[in-house]
Amino acid sequence: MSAIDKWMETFSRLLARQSSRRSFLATAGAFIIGVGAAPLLPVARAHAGTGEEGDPTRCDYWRYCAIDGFLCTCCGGTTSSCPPGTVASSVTWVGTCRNPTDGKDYIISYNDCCGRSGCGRCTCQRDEGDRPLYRTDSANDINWCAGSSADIVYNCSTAVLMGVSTGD
Amino acid sequence: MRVWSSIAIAALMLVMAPATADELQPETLHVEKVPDGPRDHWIWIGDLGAQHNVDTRAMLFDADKGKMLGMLSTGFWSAGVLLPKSTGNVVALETFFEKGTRGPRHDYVTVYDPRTLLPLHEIEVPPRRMTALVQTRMAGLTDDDRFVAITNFTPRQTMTIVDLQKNRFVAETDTPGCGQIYPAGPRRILLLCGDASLKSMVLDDNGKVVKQTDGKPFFDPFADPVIVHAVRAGDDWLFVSLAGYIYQVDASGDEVKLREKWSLLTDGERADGWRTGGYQPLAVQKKDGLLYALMRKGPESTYEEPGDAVWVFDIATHKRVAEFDLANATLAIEVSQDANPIVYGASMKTVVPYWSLVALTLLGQKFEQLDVVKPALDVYDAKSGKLLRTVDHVASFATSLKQP
Repeated sequence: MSAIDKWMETFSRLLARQSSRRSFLATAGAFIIGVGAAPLLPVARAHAGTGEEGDPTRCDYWRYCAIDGFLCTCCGGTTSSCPPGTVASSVTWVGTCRNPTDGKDYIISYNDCCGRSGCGRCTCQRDEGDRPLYRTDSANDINWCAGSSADIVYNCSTAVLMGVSTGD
Repeated sequence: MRVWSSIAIAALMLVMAPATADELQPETLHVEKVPDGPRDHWIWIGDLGAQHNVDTRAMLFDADKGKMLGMLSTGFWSAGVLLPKSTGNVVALETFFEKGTRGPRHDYVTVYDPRTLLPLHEIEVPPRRMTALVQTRMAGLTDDDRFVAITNFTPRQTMTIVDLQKNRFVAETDTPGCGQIYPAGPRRILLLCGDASLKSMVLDDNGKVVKQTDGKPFFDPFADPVIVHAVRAGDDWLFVSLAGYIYQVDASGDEVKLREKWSLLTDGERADGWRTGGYQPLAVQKKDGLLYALMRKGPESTYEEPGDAVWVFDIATHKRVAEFDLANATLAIEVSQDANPIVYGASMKTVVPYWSLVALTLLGQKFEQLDVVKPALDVYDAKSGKLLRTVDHVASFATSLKQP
Protein backbone atom coordinates (compact mmCIF):
# COMPACT_ATOMS: atom_id res chain seq x y z
CA MET A 1 0.00 0.00 0.00
CA SER A 2 1.44 3.35 -1.01
CA ALA A 3 1.99 6.11 1.52
CA ILE A 4 -0.79 8.24 0.07
CA ASP A 5 -3.14 5.26 0.17
CA LYS A 6 -2.29 4.58 3.78
CA TRP A 7 -2.84 8.20 4.62
CA MET A 8 -6.18 8.26 2.82
CA GLU A 9 -7.27 5.10 4.61
CA THR A 10 -6.26 6.46 8.00
CA PHE A 11 -8.01 9.74 7.29
CA SER A 12 -11.15 7.93 6.17
CA ARG A 13 -11.14 5.76 9.30
CA LEU A 14 -10.84 8.81 11.51
CA LEU A 15 -13.65 10.46 9.63
CA ALA A 16 -15.82 7.37 9.96
CA ARG A 17 -15.19 7.27 13.69
CA GLN A 18 -16.13 10.87 14.21
CA SER A 19 -19.64 10.74 12.90
CA SER A 20 -21.50 8.97 10.19
CA ARG A 21 -25.07 8.71 9.05
CA ARG A 22 -24.47 5.89 6.67
CA SER A 23 -21.88 3.21 6.34
CA PHE A 24 -18.21 3.70 6.82
CA LEU A 25 -17.84 3.22 3.12
CA ALA A 26 -20.55 5.65 2.28
CA THR A 27 -18.98 8.13 4.62
CA ALA A 28 -15.58 7.65 3.10
CA GLY A 29 -17.17 7.99 -0.31
CA ALA A 30 -19.01 11.11 0.73
CA PHE A 31 -15.76 12.56 1.92
CA ILE A 32 -14.03 11.63 -1.25
CA ILE A 33 -16.84 12.94 -3.38
CA GLY A 34 -16.95 16.06 -1.26
CA VAL A 35 -13.31 16.81 -1.92
CA GLY A 36 -13.77 18.08 -5.38
CA ALA A 37 -17.23 17.38 -6.58
CA ALA A 38 -19.15 20.44 -5.52
CA PRO A 39 -19.63 21.58 -9.12
CA LEU A 40 -20.84 18.08 -10.02
CA LEU A 41 -23.71 17.95 -7.58
CA PRO A 42 -27.09 17.64 -9.27
CA VAL A 43 -29.14 20.76 -9.45
CA ALA A 44 -31.63 20.79 -6.62
CA ARG A 45 -35.07 19.96 -7.90
CA ALA A 46 -38.20 21.41 -6.42
CA HIS A 47 -41.24 19.16 -6.24
CA ALA A 48 -44.84 20.15 -6.17
CA GLY A 49 -46.90 19.76 -3.02
CA THR A 50 -44.62 19.75 -0.04
CA GLY A 51 -41.92 21.82 -1.65
CA GLU A 52 -39.16 19.28 -1.79
CA GLU A 53 -35.56 19.71 -2.79
CA GLY A 54 -32.95 17.15 -3.63
CA ASP A 55 -32.38 14.25 -5.98
CA PRO A 56 -34.65 11.23 -5.32
CA THR A 57 -32.12 8.97 -7.04
CA ARG A 58 -29.56 9.76 -4.33
CA CYS A 59 -29.38 8.16 -0.93
CA ASP A 60 -29.12 11.54 0.83
CA TYR A 61 -32.59 12.56 -0.38
CA TRP A 62 -34.59 13.60 2.70
CA ARG A 63 -37.36 10.98 2.42
CA TYR A 64 -34.84 8.14 2.69
CA CYS A 65 -33.84 8.87 6.30
CA ALA A 66 -34.88 5.39 7.44
CA ILE A 67 -34.66 3.32 4.27
CA ASP A 68 -32.62 0.18 3.65
CA GLY A 69 -32.66 -1.28 0.16
CA PHE A 70 -32.50 -0.41 -3.54
CA LEU A 71 -34.09 2.90 -4.52
CA CYS A 72 -37.05 2.33 -6.87
CA THR A 73 -36.27 5.71 -8.43
CA CYS A 74 -33.21 4.03 -9.97
CA CYS A 75 -35.12 0.90 -11.01
CA GLY A 76 -37.98 2.14 -13.19
CA GLY A 77 -40.22 3.47 -10.44
CA THR A 78 -40.44 6.64 -8.38
CA THR A 79 -40.61 7.44 -4.68
CA SER A 80 -44.31 6.58 -4.81
CA SER A 81 -44.56 4.01 -7.60
CA CYS A 82 -43.17 0.57 -8.29
CA PRO A 83 -41.30 -0.41 -11.47
CA PRO A 84 -43.32 -2.01 -14.29
CA GLY A 85 -44.12 -5.66 -13.75
CA THR A 86 -43.62 -5.61 -10.01
CA VAL A 87 -46.19 -5.83 -7.23
CA ALA A 88 -46.48 -3.22 -4.48
CA SER A 89 -46.38 -4.62 -0.96
CA SER A 90 -49.41 -3.75 1.08
CA VAL A 91 -47.92 -4.24 4.52
CA THR A 92 -44.88 -2.23 5.44
CA TRP A 93 -43.28 -0.03 8.06
CA VAL A 94 -43.06 3.72 8.45
CA GLY A 95 -40.45 6.26 9.39
CA THR A 96 -40.46 9.96 10.19
CA CYS A 97 -38.20 12.24 8.18
CA ARG A 98 -37.63 15.98 8.36
CA ASN A 99 -38.03 17.88 5.11
CA PRO A 100 -35.22 20.43 5.08
CA THR A 101 -37.20 22.69 2.77
CA ASP A 102 -39.97 23.49 5.24
CA GLY A 103 -38.47 22.06 8.45
CA LYS A 104 -41.52 19.85 9.05
CA ASP A 105 -41.50 16.14 9.93
CA TYR A 106 -43.35 13.84 7.56
CA ILE A 107 -44.57 10.24 7.85
CA ILE A 108 -42.91 8.16 5.15
CA SER A 109 -44.13 4.68 4.22
CA TYR A 110 -41.35 2.47 2.88
CA ASN A 111 -43.37 0.04 0.78
CA ASP A 112 -41.33 -2.57 -1.03
CA CYS A 113 -41.86 -3.51 -4.67
CA CYS A 114 -41.89 -7.25 -5.23
CA GLY A 115 -41.95 -10.01 -7.82
CA ARG A 116 -38.63 -9.42 -9.54
CA SER A 117 -35.15 -10.18 -8.25
CA GLY A 118 -33.20 -7.45 -6.47
CA CYS A 119 -32.82 -4.41 -8.70
CA GLY A 120 -29.26 -3.99 -7.45
CA ARG A 121 -29.06 -0.26 -8.22
CA CYS A 122 -28.72 2.69 -5.84
CA THR A 123 -28.21 0.73 -2.64
CA CYS A 124 -29.21 2.96 0.26
CA GLN A 125 -28.99 2.23 4.00
CA ARG A 126 -29.72 5.02 6.47
CA ASP A 127 -31.55 3.38 9.36
CA GLU A 128 -32.62 6.45 11.35
CA GLY A 129 -35.11 5.10 13.87
CA ASP A 130 -34.71 1.54 12.59
CA ARG A 131 -35.37 -1.05 15.26
CA PRO A 132 -34.56 -4.79 15.53
CA LEU A 133 -36.86 -7.43 14.05
CA TYR A 134 -39.06 -7.92 17.16
CA ARG A 135 -40.21 -4.31 16.73
CA THR A 136 -41.78 -5.22 13.42
CA ASP A 137 -43.50 -1.87 12.95
CA SER A 138 -40.14 -0.09 12.89
CA ALA A 139 -37.83 -2.74 11.44
CA ASN A 140 -36.38 -2.08 8.01
CA ASP A 141 -34.35 -5.32 8.03
CA ILE A 142 -37.55 -7.27 7.36
CA ASN A 143 -38.30 -8.20 3.78
CA TRP A 144 -41.66 -6.47 3.58
CA CYS A 145 -42.59 -8.30 0.41
CA ALA A 146 -43.75 -10.99 2.84
CA GLY A 147 -47.51 -11.08 2.57
CA SER A 148 -47.66 -9.54 -0.90
CA SER A 149 -49.10 -11.50 -3.81
CA ALA A 150 -45.55 -11.89 -5.12
CA ASP A 151 -44.51 -13.32 -1.75
CA ILE A 152 -40.92 -12.57 -0.66
CA VAL A 153 -39.28 -11.73 -3.99
CA TYR A 154 -37.81 -8.26 -3.27
CA ASN A 155 -37.03 -5.76 -6.03
CA CYS A 156 -36.72 -2.23 -4.56
CA SER A 157 -38.07 0.22 -1.96
CA THR A 158 -40.23 3.32 -2.27
CA ALA A 159 -40.67 6.27 0.12
CA VAL A 160 -44.30 7.29 -0.03
CA LEU A 161 -45.32 10.55 1.60
CA MET A 162 -48.23 9.85 3.97
CA GLY A 163 -48.70 13.07 5.91
CA VAL A 164 -47.25 15.53 8.35
CA SER A 165 -46.14 14.13 11.69
CA THR A 166 -47.79 15.82 14.62
CA GLY A 167 -45.16 14.47 16.97
CA ASP A 168 -47.73 12.70 19.16
CA MET B 1 3.64 -16.37 -44.29
CA ARG B 2 3.17 -20.03 -45.08
CA VAL B 3 6.88 -20.68 -44.44
CA TRP B 4 6.68 -19.09 -41.00
CA SER B 5 3.55 -21.08 -40.17
CA SER B 6 5.32 -24.29 -41.07
CA ILE B 7 8.29 -23.39 -38.90
CA ALA B 8 5.98 -22.58 -35.98
CA ILE B 9 4.15 -25.89 -36.30
CA ALA B 10 7.44 -27.79 -36.46
CA ALA B 11 8.69 -26.00 -33.35
CA LEU B 12 5.48 -26.83 -31.51
CA MET B 13 5.82 -30.50 -32.44
CA LEU B 14 9.39 -30.51 -31.13
CA VAL B 15 8.24 -29.08 -27.80
CA MET B 16 5.50 -31.69 -27.53
CA ALA B 17 7.70 -34.55 -28.67
CA PRO B 18 8.90 -35.83 -25.24
CA ALA B 19 5.35 -36.83 -24.28
CA THR B 20 4.64 -39.91 -26.31
CA ALA B 21 1.28 -41.57 -26.42
CA ASP B 22 2.52 -44.35 -24.13
CA GLU B 23 3.81 -41.99 -21.45
CA LEU B 24 0.84 -39.65 -21.30
CA GLN B 25 -1.48 -40.27 -18.39
CA PRO B 26 -4.82 -38.76 -19.35
CA GLU B 27 -6.51 -36.92 -16.53
CA THR B 28 -9.88 -38.09 -15.33
CA LEU B 29 -12.42 -35.46 -14.49
CA HIS B 30 -13.88 -36.10 -11.08
CA VAL B 31 -15.81 -34.40 -8.31
CA GLU B 32 -14.03 -33.54 -5.08
CA LYS B 33 -15.26 -34.32 -1.62
CA VAL B 34 -14.73 -32.09 1.37
CA PRO B 35 -11.45 -33.34 2.82
CA ASP B 36 -11.00 -35.07 6.16
CA GLY B 37 -8.86 -33.55 8.84
CA PRO B 38 -9.04 -30.88 11.52
CA ARG B 39 -11.90 -28.46 11.09
CA ASP B 40 -10.92 -26.12 13.87
CA HIS B 41 -10.37 -23.28 11.46
CA TRP B 42 -13.11 -23.95 8.93
CA ILE B 43 -15.94 -21.49 8.52
CA TRP B 44 -19.28 -21.37 6.71
CA ILE B 45 -20.04 -17.96 5.23
CA GLY B 46 -23.67 -17.04 4.64
CA ASP B 47 -23.96 -15.13 1.37
CA LEU B 48 -27.19 -13.18 1.21
CA GLY B 49 -26.55 -12.22 -2.41
CA ALA B 50 -28.02 -8.81 -1.71
CA GLN B 51 -27.77 -7.60 -5.29
CA HIS B 52 -29.67 -10.64 -6.58
CA ASN B 53 -31.15 -12.52 -3.67
CA VAL B 54 -32.75 -15.30 -5.70
CA ASP B 55 -29.37 -17.04 -5.56
CA THR B 56 -28.10 -17.09 -1.98
CA ARG B 57 -25.23 -19.34 -1.05
CA ALA B 58 -23.37 -20.87 1.86
CA MET B 59 -19.64 -21.19 1.28
CA LEU B 60 -17.13 -23.28 3.23
CA PHE B 61 -13.58 -21.99 3.69
CA ASP B 62 -10.42 -23.31 5.32
CA ALA B 63 -9.15 -20.15 7.00
CA ASP B 64 -5.64 -21.53 7.58
CA LYS B 65 -5.09 -22.26 3.91
CA GLY B 66 -7.22 -19.41 2.66
CA LYS B 67 -8.94 -21.97 0.48
CA MET B 68 -12.56 -22.43 -0.50
CA LEU B 69 -13.68 -26.02 0.04
CA GLY B 70 -17.18 -25.99 -1.43
CA MET B 71 -20.58 -24.34 -1.36
CA LEU B 72 -24.32 -24.85 -1.23
CA SER B 73 -26.92 -23.15 -3.39
CA THR B 74 -29.51 -22.22 -0.80
CA GLY B 75 -32.15 -20.68 -3.03
CA PHE B 76 -34.04 -17.48 -2.37
CA TRP B 77 -32.92 -15.35 0.59
CA SER B 78 -31.71 -18.20 2.77
CA ALA B 79 -31.37 -18.03 6.54
CA GLY B 80 -28.01 -19.78 6.21
CA VAL B 81 -26.97 -23.10 7.70
CA LEU B 82 -27.27 -24.92 11.00
CA LEU B 83 -24.53 -27.32 12.02
CA PRO B 84 -25.64 -30.22 14.29
CA LYS B 85 -22.48 -31.54 15.93
CA SER B 86 -23.95 -34.99 16.63
CA THR B 87 -24.24 -35.88 12.94
CA GLY B 88 -21.80 -33.45 11.35
CA ASN B 89 -24.41 -32.79 8.66
CA VAL B 90 -25.07 -29.36 7.20
CA VAL B 91 -28.68 -28.18 7.50
CA ALA B 92 -29.76 -25.32 5.22
CA LEU B 93 -32.91 -23.16 5.32
CA GLU B 94 -33.93 -22.81 1.69
CA THR B 95 -36.70 -21.31 -0.42
CA PHE B 96 -37.43 -21.89 -4.11
CA PHE B 97 -40.08 -20.60 -6.48
CA GLU B 98 -41.15 -22.99 -9.23
CA LYS B 99 -40.38 -20.47 -11.97
CA GLY B 100 -37.43 -18.72 -10.40
CA THR B 101 -39.18 -15.64 -9.08
CA ARG B 102 -42.75 -16.73 -9.91
CA GLY B 103 -45.05 -19.60 -9.26
CA PRO B 104 -45.67 -21.58 -6.09
CA ARG B 105 -43.13 -21.15 -3.30
CA HIS B 106 -41.50 -24.12 -1.60
CA ASP B 107 -39.52 -23.90 1.63
CA TYR B 108 -37.18 -26.70 2.64
CA VAL B 109 -34.99 -27.74 5.48
CA THR B 110 -32.34 -29.50 3.44
CA VAL B 111 -29.89 -31.85 5.15
CA TYR B 112 -26.56 -32.13 3.31
CA ASP B 113 -23.85 -34.76 3.58
CA PRO B 114 -20.81 -32.93 4.99
CA ARG B 115 -18.35 -34.75 2.69
CA THR B 116 -20.19 -34.75 -0.64
CA LEU B 117 -22.30 -31.63 0.02
CA LEU B 118 -25.16 -33.47 -1.67
CA PRO B 119 -28.68 -33.41 -0.21
CA LEU B 120 -29.49 -36.34 2.05
CA HIS B 121 -33.00 -35.17 2.91
CA GLU B 122 -35.20 -32.40 1.55
CA ILE B 123 -37.85 -31.73 4.18
CA GLU B 124 -40.61 -29.50 2.86
CA VAL B 125 -41.99 -27.06 5.42
CA PRO B 126 -44.74 -24.39 5.30
CA PRO B 127 -43.64 -21.63 2.87
CA ARG B 128 -43.66 -18.90 5.45
CA ARG B 129 -40.06 -18.54 6.68
CA MET B 130 -39.13 -14.99 7.69
CA THR B 131 -36.63 -13.27 5.44
CA ALA B 132 -34.55 -10.37 6.72
CA LEU B 133 -31.10 -8.86 6.36
CA VAL B 134 -30.13 -10.53 9.62
CA GLN B 135 -29.52 -14.25 9.07
CA THR B 136 -28.62 -15.28 12.59
CA ARG B 137 -31.30 -16.52 15.00
CA MET B 138 -33.89 -16.95 12.23
CA ALA B 139 -33.78 -20.65 13.08
CA GLY B 140 -32.21 -22.80 15.76
CA LEU B 141 -31.40 -26.36 16.79
CA THR B 142 -32.42 -27.81 20.11
CA ASP B 143 -29.35 -28.69 22.16
CA ASP B 144 -29.80 -32.40 21.44
CA ASP B 145 -29.71 -31.62 17.69
CA ARG B 146 -33.06 -33.39 17.30
CA PHE B 147 -35.36 -30.53 16.28
CA VAL B 148 -35.06 -27.42 14.13
CA ALA B 149 -37.23 -24.40 15.00
CA ILE B 150 -37.83 -21.80 12.27
CA THR B 151 -39.37 -18.36 12.67
CA ASN B 152 -42.13 -17.49 10.18
CA PHE B 153 -43.56 -14.10 9.20
CA THR B 154 -46.37 -13.45 6.74
CA PRO B 155 -46.74 -11.04 8.77
CA ARG B 156 -48.54 -13.47 11.04
CA GLN B 157 -45.88 -14.87 13.33
CA THR B 158 -45.57 -18.62 13.70
CA MET B 159 -42.87 -21.19 14.35
CA THR B 160 -42.16 -24.35 12.36
CA ILE B 161 -40.71 -27.46 14.03
CA VAL B 162 -38.79 -30.08 12.02
CA ASP B 163 -37.61 -33.47 13.30
CA LEU B 164 -34.03 -34.17 12.12
CA GLN B 165 -34.15 -37.77 13.34
CA LYS B 166 -37.25 -38.71 11.37
CA ASN B 167 -36.52 -36.09 8.71
CA ARG B 168 -40.03 -34.74 8.65
CA PHE B 169 -42.02 -31.59 9.30
CA VAL B 170 -43.70 -31.80 12.69
CA ALA B 171 -45.94 -28.79 13.24
CA GLU B 172 -46.46 -25.07 12.90
CA THR B 173 -47.32 -23.18 16.09
CA ASP B 174 -48.64 -19.64 16.50
CA THR B 175 -46.16 -17.39 18.28
CA PRO B 176 -47.87 -13.98 18.27
CA GLY B 177 -45.43 -11.15 18.93
CA CYS B 178 -42.44 -13.49 19.19
CA GLY B 179 -39.88 -14.52 16.62
CA GLN B 180 -36.13 -15.10 16.85
CA ILE B 181 -34.95 -18.40 18.26
CA TYR B 182 -32.41 -19.16 21.00
CA PRO B 183 -31.81 -22.79 22.10
CA ALA B 184 -31.81 -23.37 25.85
CA GLY B 185 -31.77 -27.09 26.57
CA PRO B 186 -32.15 -30.52 24.97
CA ARG B 187 -35.79 -29.95 24.05
CA ARG B 188 -36.21 -26.26 24.82
CA ILE B 189 -36.03 -23.05 22.86
CA LEU B 190 -36.54 -19.39 23.69
CA LEU B 191 -38.29 -16.85 21.48
CA LEU B 192 -37.54 -13.12 21.62
CA CYS B 193 -40.76 -11.15 21.87
CA GLY B 194 -41.78 -7.58 21.09
CA ASP B 195 -42.37 -6.81 24.77
CA ALA B 196 -38.65 -7.43 25.43
CA SER B 197 -39.15 -10.83 27.05
CA LEU B 198 -38.02 -14.34 26.19
CA LYS B 199 -40.76 -16.95 25.91
CA SER B 200 -39.68 -20.48 26.83
CA MET B 201 -41.06 -23.42 24.83
CA VAL B 202 -40.44 -27.06 25.72
CA LEU B 203 -40.90 -29.84 23.14
CA ASP B 204 -41.72 -33.47 23.76
CA ASP B 205 -40.15 -36.45 21.98
CA ASN B 206 -42.43 -35.87 19.01
CA GLY B 207 -41.57 -32.19 18.69
CA LYS B 208 -44.88 -31.03 20.06
CA VAL B 209 -44.84 -27.92 22.24
CA VAL B 210 -45.86 -29.20 25.67
CA LYS B 211 -44.97 -26.28 27.90
CA GLN B 212 -44.82 -22.53 27.37
CA THR B 213 -43.56 -20.05 29.94
CA ASP B 214 -43.73 -16.31 29.37
CA GLY B 215 -40.80 -14.26 30.51
CA LYS B 216 -40.60 -10.77 31.94
CA PRO B 217 -39.19 -7.86 29.93
CA PHE B 218 -35.45 -7.68 30.53
CA PHE B 219 -34.63 -4.50 28.61
CA ASP B 220 -36.43 -1.38 27.40
CA PRO B 221 -37.41 -2.02 23.75
CA PHE B 222 -38.01 1.68 23.15
CA ALA B 223 -35.22 3.43 25.03
CA ASP B 224 -32.42 0.96 24.38
CA PRO B 225 -33.35 -2.12 22.32
CA VAL B 226 -31.05 -5.12 22.01
CA ILE B 227 -30.14 -6.51 18.60
CA VAL B 228 -31.39 -9.99 17.74
CA HIS B 229 -27.93 -11.52 17.31
CA ALA B 230 -26.86 -12.89 20.69
CA VAL B 231 -24.26 -15.34 21.94
CA ARG B 232 -24.28 -18.12 24.47
CA ALA B 233 -21.98 -18.66 27.43
CA GLY B 234 -22.94 -21.70 29.46
CA ASP B 235 -26.61 -21.35 30.43
CA ASP B 236 -26.57 -17.65 29.71
CA TRP B 237 -27.42 -15.72 26.59
CA LEU B 238 -25.67 -12.39 26.08
CA PHE B 239 -27.58 -9.69 24.20
CA VAL B 240 -26.10 -6.31 23.30
CA SER B 241 -28.10 -3.09 23.14
CA LEU B 242 -27.69 -0.17 20.77
CA ALA B 243 -26.17 1.86 23.63
CA GLY B 244 -23.50 -0.79 24.27
CA TYR B 245 -24.90 -2.59 27.31
CA ILE B 246 -24.77 -6.36 27.67
CA TYR B 247 -27.97 -7.91 28.95
CA GLN B 248 -26.87 -11.29 30.29
CA VAL B 249 -29.87 -13.55 30.88
CA ASP B 250 -29.93 -16.79 32.83
CA ALA B 251 -31.83 -19.36 30.76
CA SER B 252 -31.37 -22.32 33.11
CA GLY B 253 -34.73 -22.05 34.88
CA ASP B 254 -38.29 -22.32 33.55
CA GLU B 255 -38.57 -18.56 33.47
CA VAL B 256 -35.72 -16.68 31.85
CA LYS B 257 -34.29 -14.02 34.13
CA LEU B 258 -31.88 -11.15 33.72
CA ARG B 259 -28.70 -12.17 35.50
CA GLU B 260 -26.99 -8.83 35.11
CA LYS B 261 -26.62 -5.82 32.89
CA TRP B 262 -23.11 -4.65 32.24
CA SER B 263 -21.41 -2.24 29.91
CA LEU B 264 -18.98 -2.63 27.03
CA LEU B 265 -18.26 1.08 27.21
CA THR B 266 -17.14 3.75 29.62
CA ASP B 267 -19.49 6.71 29.92
CA GLY B 268 -17.05 8.72 27.83
CA GLU B 269 -16.97 6.12 25.07
CA ARG B 270 -20.76 5.98 25.07
CA ALA B 271 -20.93 9.75 24.77
CA ASP B 272 -18.48 9.53 21.86
CA GLY B 273 -20.83 7.18 20.00
CA TRP B 274 -19.06 3.84 20.36
CA ARG B 275 -21.33 0.80 19.90
CA THR B 276 -21.30 -2.58 18.19
CA GLY B 277 -21.59 -2.71 14.40
CA GLY B 278 -22.50 -5.10 11.61
CA TYR B 279 -24.95 -8.00 11.53
CA GLN B 280 -23.08 -10.47 13.73
CA PRO B 281 -21.02 -8.39 16.16
CA LEU B 282 -20.54 -10.81 19.08
CA ALA B 283 -18.60 -14.05 19.49
CA VAL B 284 -17.62 -16.11 22.54
CA GLN B 285 -14.36 -17.96 23.07
CA LYS B 286 -15.68 -20.53 25.50
CA LYS B 287 -12.51 -21.95 27.06
CA ASP B 288 -11.28 -18.60 28.36
CA GLY B 289 -14.72 -17.05 28.81
CA LEU B 290 -13.98 -14.19 26.45
CA LEU B 291 -16.48 -12.05 24.58
CA TYR B 292 -15.32 -10.62 21.24
CA ALA B 293 -17.27 -7.53 20.16
CA LEU B 294 -17.14 -5.89 16.73
CA MET B 295 -17.09 -2.13 17.41
CA ARG B 296 -17.65 1.07 15.51
CA LYS B 297 -18.11 4.73 16.30
CA GLY B 298 -21.11 6.63 15.00
CA PRO B 299 -24.67 7.63 15.78
CA GLU B 300 -27.28 5.08 16.78
CA SER B 301 -28.57 4.79 13.20
CA THR B 302 -25.24 3.19 12.21
CA TYR B 303 -25.64 0.19 14.49
CA GLU B 304 -25.70 -2.27 11.58
CA GLU B 305 -22.93 -0.66 9.60
CA PRO B 306 -19.47 -2.21 9.42
CA GLY B 307 -17.23 -2.22 12.46
CA ASP B 308 -13.54 -1.42 12.30
CA ALA B 309 -12.25 -2.73 15.64
CA VAL B 310 -12.64 -5.74 17.92
CA TRP B 311 -12.74 -5.33 21.69
CA VAL B 312 -12.26 -8.39 23.90
CA PHE B 313 -13.95 -8.72 27.31
CA ASP B 314 -13.62 -11.16 30.19
CA ILE B 315 -17.25 -12.24 30.64
CA ALA B 316 -16.76 -12.99 34.35
CA THR B 317 -15.17 -9.68 35.31
CA HIS B 318 -16.61 -7.55 32.47
CA LYS B 319 -13.16 -6.07 31.99
CA ARG B 320 -11.87 -5.23 28.54
CA VAL B 321 -8.71 -7.28 28.18
CA ALA B 322 -7.69 -6.49 24.60
CA GLU B 323 -8.63 -4.59 21.50
CA PHE B 324 -7.37 -4.41 17.95
CA ASP B 325 -8.14 -2.58 14.73
CA LEU B 326 -9.44 -4.49 11.74
CA ALA B 327 -7.93 -4.44 8.28
CA ASN B 328 -11.26 -3.88 6.53
CA ALA B 329 -14.77 -2.65 7.31
CA THR B 330 -16.36 -5.77 8.83
CA LEU B 331 -19.98 -6.99 8.96
CA ALA B 332 -19.66 -10.19 11.03
CA ILE B 333 -17.15 -11.86 13.34
CA GLU B 334 -16.67 -15.32 14.80
CA VAL B 335 -13.92 -16.87 16.92
CA SER B 336 -12.61 -20.44 16.82
CA GLN B 337 -12.67 -22.69 19.89
CA ASP B 338 -9.29 -24.45 19.62
CA ALA B 339 -6.04 -23.91 21.55
CA ASN B 340 -4.79 -21.39 18.98
CA PRO B 341 -7.94 -19.41 18.34
CA ILE B 342 -8.46 -17.17 15.34
CA VAL B 343 -11.00 -14.44 14.71
CA TYR B 344 -12.84 -14.53 11.40
CA GLY B 345 -14.11 -11.30 9.89
CA ALA B 346 -16.59 -11.11 7.00
CA SER B 347 -15.55 -7.79 5.54
CA MET B 348 -16.03 -5.35 2.69
CA LYS B 349 -12.56 -4.74 1.31
CA THR B 350 -11.96 -1.65 -0.79
CA VAL B 351 -10.38 -3.16 -3.88
CA VAL B 352 -9.10 -0.02 -5.57
CA PRO B 353 -6.51 2.32 -4.09
CA TYR B 354 -7.99 5.20 -2.12
CA TRP B 355 -5.99 7.74 -4.11
CA SER B 356 -7.60 6.47 -7.31
CA LEU B 357 -11.07 7.06 -5.83
CA VAL B 358 -10.08 10.66 -5.22
CA ALA B 359 -8.71 10.91 -8.75
CA LEU B 360 -11.86 9.40 -10.27
CA THR B 361 -14.00 11.81 -8.31
CA LEU B 362 -11.93 14.77 -9.41
CA LEU B 363 -12.41 13.57 -12.98
CA GLY B 364 -16.17 13.62 -12.45
CA GLN B 365 -16.77 9.87 -12.31
CA LYS B 366 -19.76 8.79 -10.20
CA PHE B 367 -19.65 5.43 -8.46
CA GLU B 368 -21.57 3.56 -5.79
CA GLN B 369 -19.90 2.18 -2.72
CA LEU B 370 -20.55 -1.39 -3.84
CA ASP B 371 -18.61 -0.63 -7.04
CA VAL B 372 -15.37 -0.33 -5.14
CA VAL B 373 -15.62 -3.03 -2.47
CA LYS B 374 -15.54 -6.81 -2.57
CA PRO B 375 -16.51 -9.11 0.29
CA ALA B 376 -13.46 -10.73 1.87
CA LEU B 377 -12.69 -13.11 4.73
CA ASP B 378 -10.11 -11.69 7.12
CA VAL B 379 -8.34 -14.00 9.56
CA TYR B 380 -6.74 -12.66 12.76
CA ASP B 381 -4.82 -14.21 15.63
CA ALA B 382 -7.41 -14.04 18.42
CA LYS B 383 -4.80 -13.37 21.08
CA SER B 384 -2.63 -10.74 19.42
CA GLY B 385 -5.10 -9.35 16.92
CA LYS B 386 -2.51 -9.72 14.17
CA LEU B 387 -3.94 -10.06 10.69
CA LEU B 388 -2.88 -13.50 9.44
CA ARG B 389 -4.43 -13.38 5.98
CA THR B 390 -7.21 -11.99 3.85
CA VAL B 391 -9.09 -14.26 1.47
CA ASP B 392 -10.38 -12.12 -1.39
CA HIS B 393 -13.62 -12.36 -3.32
CA VAL B 394 -15.68 -14.47 -0.94
CA ALA B 395 -19.43 -14.41 -1.54
CA SER B 396 -21.23 -11.31 -2.78
CA PHE B 397 -22.72 -10.06 0.49
CA ALA B 398 -21.54 -12.05 3.49
CA THR B 399 -23.54 -11.32 6.63
CA SER B 400 -23.12 -14.42 8.77
CA LEU B 401 -20.37 -16.78 9.88
CA LYS B 402 -20.77 -20.24 11.39
CA GLN B 403 -18.17 -22.78 12.49
CA PRO B 404 -18.50 -26.53 11.86
